[in-house]
Amino acid sequence: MKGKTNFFKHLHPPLVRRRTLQPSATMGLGIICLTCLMVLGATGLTLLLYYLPQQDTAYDRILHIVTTLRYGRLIRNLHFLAANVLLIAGILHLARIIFMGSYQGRWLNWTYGLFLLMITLFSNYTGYLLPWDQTAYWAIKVGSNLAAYFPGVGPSLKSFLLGGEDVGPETLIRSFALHVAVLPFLWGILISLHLWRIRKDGGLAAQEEDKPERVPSSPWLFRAELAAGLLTLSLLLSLAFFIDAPLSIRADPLHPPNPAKAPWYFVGIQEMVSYSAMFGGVVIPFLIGLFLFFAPLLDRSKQSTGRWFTKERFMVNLIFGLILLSQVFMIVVGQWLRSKNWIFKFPW
Amino acid sequence: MTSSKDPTWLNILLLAAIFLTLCLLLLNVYRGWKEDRMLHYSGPSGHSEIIADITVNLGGLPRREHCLTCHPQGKRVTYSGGSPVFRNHPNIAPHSIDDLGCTGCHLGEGMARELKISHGRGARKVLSGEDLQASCFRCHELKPLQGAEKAWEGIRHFSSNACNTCHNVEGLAGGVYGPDLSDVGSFLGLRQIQTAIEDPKADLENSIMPKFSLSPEQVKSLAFFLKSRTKESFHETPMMKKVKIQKQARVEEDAKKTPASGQDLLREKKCLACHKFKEEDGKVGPDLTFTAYMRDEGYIKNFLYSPGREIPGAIMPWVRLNAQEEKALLSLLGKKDGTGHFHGKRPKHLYMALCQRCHAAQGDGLGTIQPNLANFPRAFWKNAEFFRMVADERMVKSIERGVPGTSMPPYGELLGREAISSLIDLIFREFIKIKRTDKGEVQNVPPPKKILLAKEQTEMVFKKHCSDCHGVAGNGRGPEYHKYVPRPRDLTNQPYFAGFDDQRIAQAIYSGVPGTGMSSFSSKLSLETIWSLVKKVRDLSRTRQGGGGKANG
Amino acid sequence: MFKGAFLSGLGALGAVLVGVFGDLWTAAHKFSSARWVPVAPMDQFPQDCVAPFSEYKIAIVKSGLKMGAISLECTHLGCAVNVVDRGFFCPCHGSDFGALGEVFSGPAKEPLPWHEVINREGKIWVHLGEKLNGPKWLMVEAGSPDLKKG
Repeated sequence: MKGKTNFFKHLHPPLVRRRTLQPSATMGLGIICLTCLMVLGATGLTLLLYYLPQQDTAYDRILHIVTTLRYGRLIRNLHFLAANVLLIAGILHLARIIFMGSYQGRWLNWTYGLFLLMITLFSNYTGYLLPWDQTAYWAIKVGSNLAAYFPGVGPSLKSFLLGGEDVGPETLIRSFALHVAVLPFLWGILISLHLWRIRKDGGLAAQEEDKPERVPSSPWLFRAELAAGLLTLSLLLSLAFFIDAPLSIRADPLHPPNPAKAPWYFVGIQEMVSYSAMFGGVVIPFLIGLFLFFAPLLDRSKQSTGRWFTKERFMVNLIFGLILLSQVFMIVVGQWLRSKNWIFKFPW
Repeated sequence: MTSSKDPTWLNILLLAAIFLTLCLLLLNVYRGWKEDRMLHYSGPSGHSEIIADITVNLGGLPRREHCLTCHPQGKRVTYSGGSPVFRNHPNIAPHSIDDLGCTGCHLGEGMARELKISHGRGARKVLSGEDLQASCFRCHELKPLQGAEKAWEGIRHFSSNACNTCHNVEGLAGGVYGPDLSDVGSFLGLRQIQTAIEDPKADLENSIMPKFSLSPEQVKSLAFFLKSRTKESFHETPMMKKVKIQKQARVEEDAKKTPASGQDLLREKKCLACHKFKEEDGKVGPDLTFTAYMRDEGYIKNFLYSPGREIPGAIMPWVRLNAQEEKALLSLLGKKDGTGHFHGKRPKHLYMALCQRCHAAQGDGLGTIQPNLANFPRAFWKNAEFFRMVADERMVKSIERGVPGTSMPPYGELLGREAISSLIDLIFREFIKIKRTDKGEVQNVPPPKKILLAKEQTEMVFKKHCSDCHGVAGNGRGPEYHKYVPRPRDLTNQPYFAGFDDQRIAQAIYSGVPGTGMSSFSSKLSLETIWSLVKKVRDLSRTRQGGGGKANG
Repeated sequence: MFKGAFLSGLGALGAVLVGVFGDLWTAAHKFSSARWVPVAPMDQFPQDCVAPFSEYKIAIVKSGLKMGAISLECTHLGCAVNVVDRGFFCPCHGSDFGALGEVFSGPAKEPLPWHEVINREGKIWVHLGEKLNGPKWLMVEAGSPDLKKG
């Protein structure tokens, strides 16, 4: 029977298992990420109309957007919040996949997901620099120095990021180009591959059932996705009411603030580096990356996908849980418990 | 067709989500609209959608401003009972707003249209009223200028108060001891500059800048001058600047007048900005009035060349004089006019005239110039335990011959034995509060029984037990040094340790030093370790047991 | 056989393109701001001294018969350090360096780097942009004016 069809319907399977629509199955994290991405795209294109990547002018432009344009502040806040919510939701999505074993038999898609996480971090990082204020400038200075610790590729990576030896006008141009063109291009490719693989691998991973109950995607899957998307949007809009995208004073290359911190998602590495440059900055992140990359292959348990925390996947779950907790701890310490000269100090 | 198995709860969820999103969206939209109307006051004729957008060209740099949206024709806006009141911008001819715009003089953020942000933060904080003088000398040449009298005062103070001995400002030939202030106006706001002068140790606790005794007006005028030292130049290119400085340097060279003599020399060379000489007092450094009775020519010459060699850690910058000036200075400081003779004066007056400046009227070692000295003056008040273990002869010697490596000069020639003894009696009576003869049992540290530790082991012990206070390099600046008053001793202080014997160093480690943070290590370290550390101190200070010291006075 | 030629031809084309793009994407490190600058005439330093030149962020160090150029950029976060009696002090976060750039205390971990110096046409030239780990001394002629002894 030829029903009415369109591109949107074409992307989705005609029937979907009822179980996967439960919030406890996926918690809608994938849709949350996708919504954030769309918000970033729409707000980003708007901001693009008014921004200029030039050292002093960039700051002026941000002021212009935020104070002179009507709704400029709203758009910028949404952009900032969506970027951070995307990163957090992405990590939670990763955690859900691991704890539920949904990676089993889907290693290629798993790697696509990891690459997506990498470009999320990179997008956040390049966007952070664009206002060219004190926080941005020194965060990039510290962040690029952290990158330089990597043996071999470190210095080349640093000079690639900075467009030279030091943070300067080249860095701004480069960050801008990466942020608005190169990375969105990669986003497009990777998202398409990621979503396509979900279908190729058999749809959303859920527990094996003898007689799976299926419901038609139209309307149920679409309504679930729309609901998740709108709830994400509500979250962003409510946060935009209270939280303003930060803007400190103009960048001053001669006068660093004390302490100078990397953006929150890298401040955990900065904290680890303060103990040991090689171990904290290179070895541990590398090992974490290695583990994440190969986790699905390390998991020898038989097919137990779709169930939370099964005994067979205990080792992988444990290691990942420890990694997650320790990194969160590092971030909390680095962000809130370190003051002047990186001295440990409670904020009260 | 629906069946009972359909997840109909999704319908409810979706409706709730749509409703919620709509509400929040409208809330945000309403707020954005309201902000635009209310917070951005847009012109005297009511609500106008047009934003005043002008671009002025300041020295080749285009500056775009929205200030005139809320301040039409530069008028000052105040609110009385909800409605705006305008006051015309004062006449600033020959300057004009069309040429200069607003932010060139007033600073602030031109591209913003919200009150708090457009009035700037930090270095860009808007200047108004009297503070505007801080902008004048960004463009104008450094000479007296009508309307910028205070700022011109500031320029004079910068030189006469010895600021340029340590700080360099481009074009005003300054020193290099302190941070270069050529661009300080681009980095600090007016109030921040004032605080930096009034309270130097506020931002960086281990700053070596002394607190000069300046009136608030003097500080303000200095701040006006320094705020005008900025990176960007609106009216001259870097090439023009360079040529101007070269011309200025040549003019200064040509104007070499005959050197002043006597006290004028001290004033001209800025010594009096810190030191005391007869009646004039800078209140930052020691009293030089009686130098003739304390130091010989060789010492003074060496001191001027490198103060840190005679008193390690001294914050006095080095002084370079030509032959004529040096001769004049030495003859001035070396003049023994009998008026300074203190034989027969009462000990109380002696203390007030000579000791109080460092040791304080209270005798607690926190005198007026104490923050600027490299070594803390000994505390007498509540320090009985220390003086119980110090031989009387040592006290007499300290006053008579001074303590090399510190700011304590020899008073022997100036006072004489009798006066010194009566002074010591006074100190015991009023401050230490014990009998001068009340001495405790001081046991010598026994010699080591086994061989001393190897160099690497000593290093490890030093790092573990000593470096937190005395620093890895032994210069008294370890990570914990700021916790202790008096500060940990600088172990590299050669003149200081040259006069010691090993027993005294060992005693300090073994029994500790009362009245300071140096605790006793006899229970924590073996005798051999202690004597090895004594050797380490000798290495650090480059001295030897019983000699190698330079006699003073 | 056609397929072989086809594939290898395409492969070669791809390799060249990768090479070209790779070159452009990594061209940043080819830009070097290293250059020799004449700082001052040699006879401006008759005695032992540490003379800073803030426009180049270096200080000329003269000790006995040796001359060198030390960088005045703090190795912590790049502030300009001040010359003090026993070495150098950074006003931004309080790093303390000795007379040869070694770290005494403070957040900095690396010592101050040095620059190469040469003597040309009676002037001292410093190689800016390239940093060395230790001092590279230039020997000056004996017979300089009498050094003030302590």
